[in-house]
Amino acid sequence: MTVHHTDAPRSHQASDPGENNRLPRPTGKQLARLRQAIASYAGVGSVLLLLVVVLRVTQPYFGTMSNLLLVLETNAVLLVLAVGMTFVLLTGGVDLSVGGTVVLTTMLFGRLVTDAGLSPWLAVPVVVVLGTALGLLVNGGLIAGLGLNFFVVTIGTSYVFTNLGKLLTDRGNTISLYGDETIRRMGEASVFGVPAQVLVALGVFLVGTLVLRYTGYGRMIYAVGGNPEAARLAGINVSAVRASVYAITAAMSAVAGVMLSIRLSAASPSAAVGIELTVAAAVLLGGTSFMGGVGTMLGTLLGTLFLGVLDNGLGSAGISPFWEGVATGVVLVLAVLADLLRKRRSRTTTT
Amino acid sequence: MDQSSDGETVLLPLVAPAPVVVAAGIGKQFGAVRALDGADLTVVPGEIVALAGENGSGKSTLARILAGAVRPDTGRLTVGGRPARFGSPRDALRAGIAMVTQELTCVPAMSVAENVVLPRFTRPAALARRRDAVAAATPHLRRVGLDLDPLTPFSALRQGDRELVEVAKAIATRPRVLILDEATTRLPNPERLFTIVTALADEGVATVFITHRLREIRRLAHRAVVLRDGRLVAELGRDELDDERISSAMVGRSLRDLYAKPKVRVGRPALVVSSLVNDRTPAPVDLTVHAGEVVGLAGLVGAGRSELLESIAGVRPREQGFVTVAGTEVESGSPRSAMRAGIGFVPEDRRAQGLHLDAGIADNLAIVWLSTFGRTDRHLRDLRANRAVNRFKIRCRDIEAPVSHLSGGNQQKVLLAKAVARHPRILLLDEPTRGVDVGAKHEIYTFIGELVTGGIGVLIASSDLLELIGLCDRVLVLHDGAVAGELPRSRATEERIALLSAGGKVT
Repeated sequence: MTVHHTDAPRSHQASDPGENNRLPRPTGKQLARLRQAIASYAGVGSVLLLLVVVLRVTQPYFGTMSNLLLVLETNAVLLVLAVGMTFVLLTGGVDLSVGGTVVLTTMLFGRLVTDAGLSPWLAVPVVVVLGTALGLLVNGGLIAGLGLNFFVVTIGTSYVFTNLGKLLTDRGNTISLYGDETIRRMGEASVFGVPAQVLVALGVFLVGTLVLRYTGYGRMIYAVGGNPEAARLAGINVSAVRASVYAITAAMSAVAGVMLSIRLSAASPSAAVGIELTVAAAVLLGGTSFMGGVGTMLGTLLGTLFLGVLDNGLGSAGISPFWEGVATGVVLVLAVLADLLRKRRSRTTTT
Repeated sequence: MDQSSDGETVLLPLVAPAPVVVAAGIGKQFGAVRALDGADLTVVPGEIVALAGENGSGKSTLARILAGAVRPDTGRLTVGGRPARFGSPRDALRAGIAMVTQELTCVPAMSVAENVVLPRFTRPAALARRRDAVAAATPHLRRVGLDLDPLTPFSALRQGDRELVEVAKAIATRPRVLILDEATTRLPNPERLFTIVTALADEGVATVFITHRLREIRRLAHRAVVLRDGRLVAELGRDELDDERISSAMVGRSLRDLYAKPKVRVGRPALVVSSLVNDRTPAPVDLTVHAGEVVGLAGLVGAGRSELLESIAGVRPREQGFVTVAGTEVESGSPRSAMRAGIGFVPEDRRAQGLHLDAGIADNLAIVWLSTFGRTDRHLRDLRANRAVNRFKIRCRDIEAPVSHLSGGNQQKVLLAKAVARHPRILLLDEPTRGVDVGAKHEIYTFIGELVTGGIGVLIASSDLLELIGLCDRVLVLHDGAVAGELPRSRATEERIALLSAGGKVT
């Protein structure tokens, strides 16, 4: 390799056709990759960092270990849902029935534990399997099998699932699970002071990361989202992949539903209403493209943490939660804008 | 087959091996369009077959059927002696048929290496590590002559390199039959591809390549199969591959008849473009089209032809320069201003840019007459539509039927009718006969002739070189967003245009 270091940046912007068009140059390889990785997290990463620094300085309580664990615990459900949503968004779809599925599975869990007298240890797998099947057959079947539009289908099933969940209540009231000894213990469980819910969420995140990065299935998801026709011509079963991601979000929704019931020691029909938009915001903040094909799990984690830290910090500073919503929206649009500007700039320098 | 087995023992073995692919009586209908009407094709191992034909003759459809991307309505397909029924490209890949399609089929956000090994990601549970992808892709990338970091994102490559990645991807599946659909038109240096194909042939891999460049057929093919209107019309052996034979088989009549161009006295400048610069043509472009003149724009895909036309038509903003039509200046980035100045524009992608597919002919044509506070006159609308249907010989059920039901040629005529509805002085045509059958093509050429006789100037961008040569008074060749040269009618040949397009010099 006789390429000089000084050559690397120049060849990056070469507009002359006679110049070397192989970019980036071998020696600058690692550097370029690193730069690219940083660039893709720059938006949400820097805002998150700024937020953490500001809160650390202004809020003495913020930096304490117990507060950080609190941030993680209150957002464990959000993270689990965001991991599922990342899969769907990567294929270029969206699942707006996430909140509905959470409501339905929460209520189902509550009923199974109280009325059917099922042990929570048995109720959990039952609810998760049923939830997954619902996502695969209803959302997946309608969207991937019959080719209906994912927006329409998941808005529709969101209504259906939410209200089926409410039908499982007693005239819309919360089912208390506080009387159940096992559930109380599950809610208080922790390992070395880290709440079990946080561990579950991080576990889900880890598995999601590994699946996306290191399995054929993960590559298929990027391929389907990036260019469905190319995926089809490469022999990938596009509709099976599309159906599977709705099964994943439903499975994650069921897990989230169970986690929510355990944390609240109650099955509440209103606890997760509208959460799908927060979930989508977290994933999009993390740099996943709404068009599909671009995004990472790490980004999703950062996006979720941003929302969690914002909530925690503004809450402890005594600022109205409505400002938090305003801030979330502004940052989301800014993140997308920054991404657009970055793409525009790179397009003019490379073509 | 019959013609080729007697003569050229040099290139084919004496005893012809059993064919690897036999397609018999393949038929395919898309809506109102009969793309294939009983087409046949036989390919033996190690053979290089050129599949030739005009735009819309069905050659791409046949190739897509072989590759499993499209299912045939009728006919039989045999691969390696066994009947094959491909449900998806996956089945074709398994049977050993790989194709490089006209559209890029890579995933832009993925790395080059991952794109090359994409067809292997069919087992969901399999481990997919970057390192493995790089190791598997590197030899194939080398073979096609791409020396770059395999982890470069595909989207960062330039056009020609992207095409090479497509080829590497097809080769990486270790096919028995490789299908190349117009692969050379997107390569700056097709020689490399020729070398690969020849080497593959020596290894026993058959290649079917689609092209409308006659010199490539002469240069590479063992045999040429010519399709016209969805049928096989000629099979030419190695010693029969001369331009006249191939092209008359493609067109079905002599070229002179097809491009019946009337002699018109060239008038005053109708369109003047001076030092135009946009985001895709960095070098200032100057050109003039006179009344009664047909000027061609040639160049490779990505050379900036369409973008130049779009800038003139006000669709794409200009960064610099002026456009005037008979002295009236056209605002940058304002299609409305261009229309008012007298520019008619037929865009390249008629389905995405030109037509409202669910609307009927009448509504599609009425759009150019809409004004914000104007009244809609149903009677006038129908009258105009019926006039256009008669004038352009548009074959349709009625003027309200959705234009998506029309054949490609008839859709194109609707677009032409729309472009000339407000009596432009200058007509810009971008690929006016792509996906159009020979009959409709002839009608479109005749109509262009009528327009120039009436004193309109025409500027045509086309990748069909025969069309440009047959139709134009002058041909401007673009290369990398700049005018690389201008050829008058007397000097415009396929060779010269191709040379200029590729960045060479013509003496």
